[in-house]
Amino acid sequence: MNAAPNDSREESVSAARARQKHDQEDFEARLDEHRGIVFKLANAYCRAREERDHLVQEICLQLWRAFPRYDPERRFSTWMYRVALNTAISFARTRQARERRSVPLDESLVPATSEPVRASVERVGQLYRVMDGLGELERALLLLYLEEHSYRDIAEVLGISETNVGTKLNRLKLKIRRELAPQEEAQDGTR
Amino acid sequence: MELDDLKTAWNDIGQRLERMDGALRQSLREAKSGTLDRTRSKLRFVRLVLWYEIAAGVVAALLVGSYLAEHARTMRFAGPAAVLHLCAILAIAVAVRQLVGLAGIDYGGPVVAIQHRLGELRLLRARANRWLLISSPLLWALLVIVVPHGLFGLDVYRAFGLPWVAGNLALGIAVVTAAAGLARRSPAWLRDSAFLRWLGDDLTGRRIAAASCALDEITSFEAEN
Repeated sequence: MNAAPNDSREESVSAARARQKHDQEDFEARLDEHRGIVFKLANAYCRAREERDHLVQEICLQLWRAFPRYDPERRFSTWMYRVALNTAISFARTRQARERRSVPLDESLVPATSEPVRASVERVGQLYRVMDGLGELERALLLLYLEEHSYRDIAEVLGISETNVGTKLNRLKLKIRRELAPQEEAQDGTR
Repeated sequence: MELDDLKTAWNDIGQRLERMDGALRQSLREAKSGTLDRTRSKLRFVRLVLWYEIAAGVVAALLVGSYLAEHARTMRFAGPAAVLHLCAILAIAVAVRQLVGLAGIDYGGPVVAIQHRLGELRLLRARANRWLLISSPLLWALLVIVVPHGLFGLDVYRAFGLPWVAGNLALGIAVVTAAAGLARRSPAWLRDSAFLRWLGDDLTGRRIAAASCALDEITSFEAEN
């Protein structure tokens, strides 16, 4: 008598398991495809290696938790930037993270001196100095711009208008030009 | 050098990060296999603390509430118990408000809006913590009236006299004032301890100032000017 309800319960359980497995595989494939986003974002907000690893874990965890709410109609990368940025900014806003921001950068990220790229070493150093001087949201704007996203994409990730993105990027460009000019003059002077 | 010139540096870093692997890839593998250490999540920790606060608040409200009902006609006991009861209910309400706020946050939402809501919650938390610390001398003075009476039937007014009760209040105020003074001076040994630093920041209002400043920064980022 109870065989039919039991069968249907087992069917629904196995269907749920299959769905979960499919979701996990889907998530893994998408995460693998866009893993660079996680690495770059974590590095933009945490310079010390241990902190950065912790942030990568936190981002992955939040991505996995938020994945059931992901709307497949929208682009995965946009959603991923939102989750990763929200996690990274919240992480960086904690006092401890603020204090550790002054930790020397992970040297493995600076090109080795044996490479014929002195200019590249300088540029990486300058980029880090620029990033350290920005607020968390300005930093998000900068890294989305560096990732070559359109104003429209940046506006969608951040939730501000395209006009606002344009205005803020113009200001950021001016600020960076002003900040980098004296440094470049000093470097030219020492050469 | 222009902003666009920094794109080369950004791409250099990206390529190096891709090659580094190690711990970063391990984190991705753990996240994918579901074995990630969830206890390390900051949000999870905050939620646990809030649940603990709600549980502690409910226990306190129930205990003090039943004491209040029992001694409602004895003003010298009912007064302190009523204040403690009100504080317990307020603490529960503030913790529930934060928990509901956190539950409604979807990290897949627009960054500025989500950060604004998180900023408001941080400010609420900072304000609640500061009020709790500042009012702790009063709470302490009331607790030493209600707890001995509720647990052992000891009437501290009769046993030790009113000056002793007032002395307790004065002692509590002196301790909080001294702690605030110390926190403002922020000696090295205090900065070395994460807990003491946290306490000092709450007591002096530094956390409120930081949370307000962060919220202003978000608001100005949202503004189109």
